[in-house]
Amino acid sequence: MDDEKFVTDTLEGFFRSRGYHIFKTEDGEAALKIIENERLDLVLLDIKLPKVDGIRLLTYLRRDYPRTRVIVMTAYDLEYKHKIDGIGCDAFFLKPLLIEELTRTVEELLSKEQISRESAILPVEAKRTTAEGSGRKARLLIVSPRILLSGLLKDYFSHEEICQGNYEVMESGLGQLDNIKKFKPDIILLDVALVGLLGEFGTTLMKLPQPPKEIILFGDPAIKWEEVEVLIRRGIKFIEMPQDLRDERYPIKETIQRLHNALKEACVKYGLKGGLDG
Amino acid sequence: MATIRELFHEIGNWHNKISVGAGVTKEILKQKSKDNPLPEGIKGMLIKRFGELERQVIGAEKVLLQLKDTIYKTIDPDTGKPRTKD
Repeated sequence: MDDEKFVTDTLEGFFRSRGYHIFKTEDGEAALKIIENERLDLVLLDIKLPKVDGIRLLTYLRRDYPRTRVIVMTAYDLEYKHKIDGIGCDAFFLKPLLIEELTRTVEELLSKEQISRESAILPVEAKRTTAEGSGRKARLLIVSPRILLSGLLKDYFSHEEICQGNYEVMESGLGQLDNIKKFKPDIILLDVALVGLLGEFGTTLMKLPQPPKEIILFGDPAIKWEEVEVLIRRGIKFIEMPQDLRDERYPIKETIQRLHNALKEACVKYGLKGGLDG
Repeated sequence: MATIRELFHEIGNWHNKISVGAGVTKEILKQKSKDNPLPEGIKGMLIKRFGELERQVIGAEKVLLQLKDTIYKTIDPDTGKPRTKD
C-alpha cells in the first residue's frame, strides 16, 4: 500500500516472482477493502495514502487483524515515528527502501509466523473443508517437465494394486490450464525443475475457481535454490528426488515411497481416500 | 502551490523510486541470471552498479534530511512563513 504506483508495481512484480500472492493499492479506501476481503499475512504500509491515511490503517490492522504482520515504510522520517511506535508495527523502514533488507524482513516475519502452506500461497477461498473431499478418490495432478519421470509417477499412482493407494491421476504441463481447471486437482506434485516458473504457476493456481488443497514440491536438492527455498520456508513440503534417476544417492523406489507418504498425509489431513492403508 | 513539507516529501519519493527500481533490478538480475547466465564480468558489474546506485541515493536522502532539519527550524514547512521566536 503506497501512494506511488511505480513503487507498488515494482514491488508487486518482485515479490510475485518470489512466490507471494500480492494485492496492491495506491489509496487508503481501496486498502481497507482489501484488508476486509482478503486474509492478509503481511502488509507493506506507506503512511501517506489518499482518502484513508496509513496511521488509521495501522490502527485498524492492529485492533481488528492482530495476526497480520505490518511493515511500515515511510518518507516522513521521524515526524510520525512516535505515533507509529504508540500503535505498534512489526518493522519500520524509512524510505528510500533497500530491497535486500526489506526482503529479509518480509521473509523473517513470515517464517516467524509459521504460516501454513494454504494461507501463504492460496487465498481464503482456497480453504475448503475437509468434509467436502471425504469418501472419494484424491485427484492428483503431476506437473513436471521431465516426461519420463512424469509418466513413471502417473503409472505408479494410477495403479491401485502397485501403489496401494487410490488416486485419480493427471499429468500436465503449465500450459494446460483449461484441463487443470476441469480436473480440479486436490493435490499437486510440482517438480522444482520448473524453477523460475513456480511463483507464476502458484499465482495461476490461486485464480482457479477450485484451488488445490495441497502442493508438494519434489526434485533434486541440487537445484533447490532461492525460489524453492522461499516456498519451503513458507511450509510447502519438499521431497528429494534425483534429477538423474540412476543417481544412487536417492534410489527411485525410496523417493517414490516418500512422495506417497507425503500424499497419504495430505489425504488424511483433507479426508480424501488416497492412502488406502491410512 | 505545494508547501515546503510536500516538496520535501516529493523529493523523498523520487529517491525511493530510484532505490526501489535499482534494488529490484539488482535482485532480479541475480535471480534470473541463474536461468540465463550472463558473462560473469558483466553480471558482477551490473550488480555492483545497481548496488552503488542504491547506496548513492541513500546518501542523497541523508543530505536532504539535514537540509530539511535546517529549514524546518527557521521556516514553518506548512505555511512557508518564518518561525516566530517565542
